[in-house]
Amino acid sequence: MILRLLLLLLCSILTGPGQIVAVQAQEAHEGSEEAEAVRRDRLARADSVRDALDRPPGKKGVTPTDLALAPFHLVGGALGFGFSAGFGAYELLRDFGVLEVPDEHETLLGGANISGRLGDLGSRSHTAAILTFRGLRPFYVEGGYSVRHYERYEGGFQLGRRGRGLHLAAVYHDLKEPHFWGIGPGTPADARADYARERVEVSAGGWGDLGTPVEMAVEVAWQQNVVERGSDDDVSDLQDVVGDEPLFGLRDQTEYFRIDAAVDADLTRLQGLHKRGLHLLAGTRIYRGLDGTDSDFVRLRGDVRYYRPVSPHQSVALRGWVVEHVAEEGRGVPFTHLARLGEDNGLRGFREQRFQDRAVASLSVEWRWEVWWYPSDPDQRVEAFLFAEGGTVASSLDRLRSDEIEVTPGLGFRLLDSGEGIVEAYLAFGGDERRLDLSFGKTF
Amino acid sequence: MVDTLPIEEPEDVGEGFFYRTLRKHTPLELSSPFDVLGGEALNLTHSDDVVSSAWWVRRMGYRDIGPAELARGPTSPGGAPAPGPLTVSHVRDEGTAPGLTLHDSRGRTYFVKLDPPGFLHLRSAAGVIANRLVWGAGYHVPEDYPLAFEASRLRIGEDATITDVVGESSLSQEGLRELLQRMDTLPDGRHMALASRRLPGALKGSFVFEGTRDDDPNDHYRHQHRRELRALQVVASWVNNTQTQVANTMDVYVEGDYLRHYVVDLGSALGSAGGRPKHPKDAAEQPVDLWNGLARFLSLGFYRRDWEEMDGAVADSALGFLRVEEFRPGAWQTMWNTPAFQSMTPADAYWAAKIVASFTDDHLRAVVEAGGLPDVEDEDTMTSVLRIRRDTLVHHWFQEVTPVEDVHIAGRDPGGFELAFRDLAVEHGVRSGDELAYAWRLEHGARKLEVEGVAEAEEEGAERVVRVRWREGDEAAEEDPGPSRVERLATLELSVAGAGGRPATVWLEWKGPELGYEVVGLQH
Repeated sequence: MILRLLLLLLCSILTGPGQIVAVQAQEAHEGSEEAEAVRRDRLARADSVRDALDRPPGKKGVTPTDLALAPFHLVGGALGFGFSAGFGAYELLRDFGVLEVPDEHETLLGGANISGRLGDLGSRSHTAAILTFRGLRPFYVEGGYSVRHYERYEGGFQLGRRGRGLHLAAVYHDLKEPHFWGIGPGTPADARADYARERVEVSAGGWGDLGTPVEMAVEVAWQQNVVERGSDDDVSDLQDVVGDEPLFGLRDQTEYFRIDAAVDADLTRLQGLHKRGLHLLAGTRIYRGLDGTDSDFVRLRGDVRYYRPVSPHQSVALRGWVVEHVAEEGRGVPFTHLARLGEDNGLRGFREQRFQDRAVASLSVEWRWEVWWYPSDPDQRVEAFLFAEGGTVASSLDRLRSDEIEVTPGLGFRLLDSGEGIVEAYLAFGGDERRLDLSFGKTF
Repeated sequence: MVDTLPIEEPEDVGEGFFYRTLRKHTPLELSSPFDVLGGEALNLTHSDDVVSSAWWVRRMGYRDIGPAELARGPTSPGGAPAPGPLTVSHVRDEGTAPGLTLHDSRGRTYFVKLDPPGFLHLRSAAGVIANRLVWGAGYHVPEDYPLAFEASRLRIGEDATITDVVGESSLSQEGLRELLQRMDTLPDGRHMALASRRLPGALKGSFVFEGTRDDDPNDHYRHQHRRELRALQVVASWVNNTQTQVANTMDVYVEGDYLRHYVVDLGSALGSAGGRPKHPKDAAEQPVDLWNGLARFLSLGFYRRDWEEMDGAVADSALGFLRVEEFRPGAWQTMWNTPAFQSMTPADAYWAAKIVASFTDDHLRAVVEAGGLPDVEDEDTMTSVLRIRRDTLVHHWFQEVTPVEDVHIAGRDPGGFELAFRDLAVEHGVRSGDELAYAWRLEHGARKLEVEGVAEAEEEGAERVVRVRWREGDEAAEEDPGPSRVERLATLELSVAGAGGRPATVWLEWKGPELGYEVVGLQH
């Protein structure tokens, strides 16, 4: 060290300050080289010490324990991968705003005032991506496109939200391949045919609850429907199956003026995490044919839902609903407007729209229980459910026959977040075939 | 310490969340009912103990540590954040209570987690108290401090960022102010947080509880066979740290050029779950419990666990949800399974229970006072809780084995000897020492000895003495064993007569007719 200082002093005399820095840098470099050499020596000695030890047991190869655990690793790894992939996809969809969940956090599309969600656009649409722009409130524009090329576009304005409000909207809806089996109960499973339907509608209405749990809504609308050939190549077009038989609405463009009035009385309350009480819905819809559409009819609907918790994590839910169309004048009810039974509309064991007629009655029972919930947010939970559903159709309610009632039981799982159903999957029996279905939202 | 030899600097392996979920947790969930992991730990001394290492250090129960030293724990003089400005370089805001990376006026870095709204002192007190206790139990932990600070001390650093649910962006003064406005303050307006000083050295990612680290030549024993890692579950149960998992560990390349293994982030201990109070489910069932979920599914919801009937209401916001009535040391589990915890044997648990038993009431009081709880009543409650959990834990694990220590031969004659030992169950009041008898069984194949008996213990000071006799009077002497050490070794199984608990195995070496047997090993 003293020699280094003397050297430094000599350099400072002979060369000046600039050179001192260079000398110091050189010393630092040499110092780091020396330190590195010391470090290398310590590493080498440490390695030799380790080499002198007996072979570390931790480095030995496969043990009987590894063999015993191997099957669990295979199964568990697959389950873990599925869970992680599903959870990762769920998080990704939430972050991109495609999967809409009740969440105060902004999504990546939120900066552009666009919200997105996955849903469906009508019978057999398959999964649809739906984007809504609300950057110019109260005006909005929404567009949806599905895997099966269904389209739905809506634009309008909406004043108010819960409680009371007004809306004015124009809708274009193109369904590409809904199926039709015929009218009445007992239609054969192989009578399936498809069609396409374009609907244009302009509507205006309002709703209000006047501070009570009863909400009322009224709406007037103009509607035009055109039916064409469907795009499902696996089944025949309805136009070919029907042939010359008259099926009102198939070959005619129909145009209606519609008046709606509905009442929604949600008398349920939360008991813990579950609803308890009655939820009543009723409505009437009056159709008046316009511009050559010789058809006036009325649609009446009643829906009663009852929820009863049995324990903190179990509940029973019942739903009974009826629909009847009363033809007043002209050719009656076009097939596109008939009451339907199947899939999430009663009878989950059958495909959507499996049974159609002017009147339908259905009863569903579910036994629900939690299989998983998160401690800090019990609203995030997975619910299992057993269900049994029965229903039938007829030309009028007084012609419904008990021997024509179809019954479909099943079981499923449902993911809920903040009390809202996000997605559910179920396996249903008793229909034309066993059905495994995945759908967004919640049946009831 | 053999595992602190210098090594080449390893890479940072990160946290490995998906690795942990995919390859570790789910298989363990499925295998847990079948208990395929087993066997005693491998890193033991002859007296069934553990030596200090890069994983664990002999502290409480091994050397004299007073309450004041324990209350200081891993902290260094002047190690708390210095007075003056605190520069924010990063904010993580993905939950109820955000975390900040702060640098004090001396350039030291702290990872700071604010107490959640509505629960001042919950995380900060729990974190400091658990930090001191886990340090005292021997584990390497960071320097944790309770930190009360004014918002006016905070400065936005250059290139400061914030990470939230949307992603990472620049941190603005406005954003920081909005964030702090969401948080509760002390009556004097200061914010309350748990500050953890950055570990000294280069951070190299979490360690896992299975296998060994490939780039660490010092890592000899598979982690699931290290006693101190297995027994960490017992210490974690005492402080109710359900978040003892891979994500809350850290390997650090320290001065001396080796990896030291830390247990970090103890803010989810006791009644705290980090950003919220604990819930009855937290210590009773894991977040995703496949078997219980399957049981609920198959039973249509009629399968119930005790915790589902518990009221999760919090009596005190500073203490969170922490009860002693339902504490079951044998059933307590962390939120995520680890291979090491599943491999834990009663001997491993007893070893940890011995350490826990060495914490006196004065130690607990001093540690609780270091946590900065707001009033004396809270301190009294927390101290009582820790004391009761300690006693419950000790009582449970001491009955799973035969807890004898300091075993030695106190006297001998040609046909037997007197075995002296300390019975920790008696010393700690788990069992009454009156009229206590011990069953013993001596086996020495090379001498054709296989004898057993039951003897009442005599008390000699703190020790208990049991007579072991295999020959009376003029009976012929046994054969001499051969010269090899294996032939000279005998085993003596010792247990409390009429009680449960695994017998202790005392290893004896025959030194010849003159010297008789000598104790050379102990296994619980």
